[in-house]
Amino acid sequence: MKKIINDPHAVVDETISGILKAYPYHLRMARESNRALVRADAPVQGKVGLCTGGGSGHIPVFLGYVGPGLVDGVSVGNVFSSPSADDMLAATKEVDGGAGVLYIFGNYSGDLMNFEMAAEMSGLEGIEVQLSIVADDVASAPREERHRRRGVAGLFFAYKLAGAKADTMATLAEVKATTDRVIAQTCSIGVALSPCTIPAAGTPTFTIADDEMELGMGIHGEPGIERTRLMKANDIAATMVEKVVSDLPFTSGDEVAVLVNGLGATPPEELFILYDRVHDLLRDRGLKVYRTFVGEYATSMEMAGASLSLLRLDDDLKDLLDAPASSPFLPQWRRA
Amino acid sequence: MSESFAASDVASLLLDAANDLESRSEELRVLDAAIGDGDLGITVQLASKAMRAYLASANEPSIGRLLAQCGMTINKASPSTFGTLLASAFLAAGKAVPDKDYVDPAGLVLMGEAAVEGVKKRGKADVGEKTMLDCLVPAVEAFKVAIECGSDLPHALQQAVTAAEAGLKSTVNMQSRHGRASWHGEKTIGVQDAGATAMYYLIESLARHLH
Repeated sequence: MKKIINDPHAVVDETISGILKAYPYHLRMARESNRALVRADAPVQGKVGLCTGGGSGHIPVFLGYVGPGLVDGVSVGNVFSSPSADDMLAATKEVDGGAGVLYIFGNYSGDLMNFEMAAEMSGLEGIEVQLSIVADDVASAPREERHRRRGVAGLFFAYKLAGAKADTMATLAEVKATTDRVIAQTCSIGVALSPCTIPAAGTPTFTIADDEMELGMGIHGEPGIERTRLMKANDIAATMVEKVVSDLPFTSGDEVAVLVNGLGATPPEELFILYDRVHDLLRDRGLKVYRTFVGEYATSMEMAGASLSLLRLDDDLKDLLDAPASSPFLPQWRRA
Repeated sequence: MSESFAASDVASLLLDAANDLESRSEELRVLDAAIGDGDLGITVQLASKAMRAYLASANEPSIGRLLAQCGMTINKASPSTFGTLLASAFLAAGKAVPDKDYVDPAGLVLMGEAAVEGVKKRGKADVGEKTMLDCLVPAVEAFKVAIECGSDLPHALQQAVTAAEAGLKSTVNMQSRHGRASWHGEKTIGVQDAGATAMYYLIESLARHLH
């Protein structure tokens, strides 16, 4: 293990501490938990509060999505491990502006159990909570079993559009309906080239030969669809586009937002090489690319690889995608 | 021997169990890494450590509140799948004996049954799906049958451990339906479930120290 750290068990707390020092005008710690952070001006009165959370090791997921036009609070657990229901409750209390709170999070059993527990505890505190669960990874289960799919980089679209919807002062039910519609229109797939190491464990999450890649691998190293020889970027693009487009399916004439996401160790150059072909393949299929995002939106520490996510848009969703939002982790979003 | 226990007895029992479970953490880590996400060893370590810290200072006369506090302690220390389910089991067991200062074997049956329901509800799981329930459910059932048939506590505990062990072994041939292990599909057949293994060690330890 070769990492710039002090103590493997202090990685999460020292990361949070550094982020709070770097961005004191954006974020603050919740009063009742040092694993819960909220936007500096939380709560926004009358607005539905949005909370997310999950294991650490995926920046900008989850902390990086806190901000105006995005989510209001997060709770973070240890690396790849859910935060506690208590941490989630601490964030919930501080983002509730009187209109209820929506939890938006990836479909992992540990997170689900804790968010459900936190929702029950929030109910006892008089805060109404609803859940929207992101399950966009087409490689993790067949379409008929969508409820089993993992949540990956598609979280980005859910946060962005839910944040914009909440800013319209819509009700909790309306924000949840829009968020669920975004989730239903989002499909993703990833490819992994090399593993990452959980600092406290000290050993890589999986092993893979230098000349191999795994299609469909999850962001914690969960097994994918198949392990193959490392393909050329154009072939990886073709495989990813086929898997994603045929899943929803996206059809000729659809307008889409595209996200090519790096998993942590893959340089931006390679992401743009991938996007170069993805763009052409989508155009060849008659899809219209409305907006494109290329960069690190959901990582897995130093894992090498990339994911492709597509969101099918309509006029309402396009407006929400373009609404202002701000986070120090999303520099291209000063004003769309 | 006395067959009823005060909260202080339960606290020392849980302390022993936490120590026993922690001594198995490396074995559980390896087992979990095979088909799970490998965090069970860390979970067990953190949960045991937090339980020890809580129990060392706990002076709680109500068994219900003691168990509920243990549940919250475990969830805070280790909100992983296993930690959260274990916490749910403790919270539910605590609710089953809300203001009791002591518990007898019939009370232990109620606590066991409540723990089962707590885990089933939180994990949306049932027996036969390669989880800790495959160990916990038969153990509680065997214990209940033995107590209801008039067995003494040591015999009933022995029955529970025997059933837990058989339940644990039955997970080898099951396919995972929950959590990260489920994504390995058929590859999980032939591997003993890590969560059920941890549950077996917990039941075995509780039974041994209750004896």
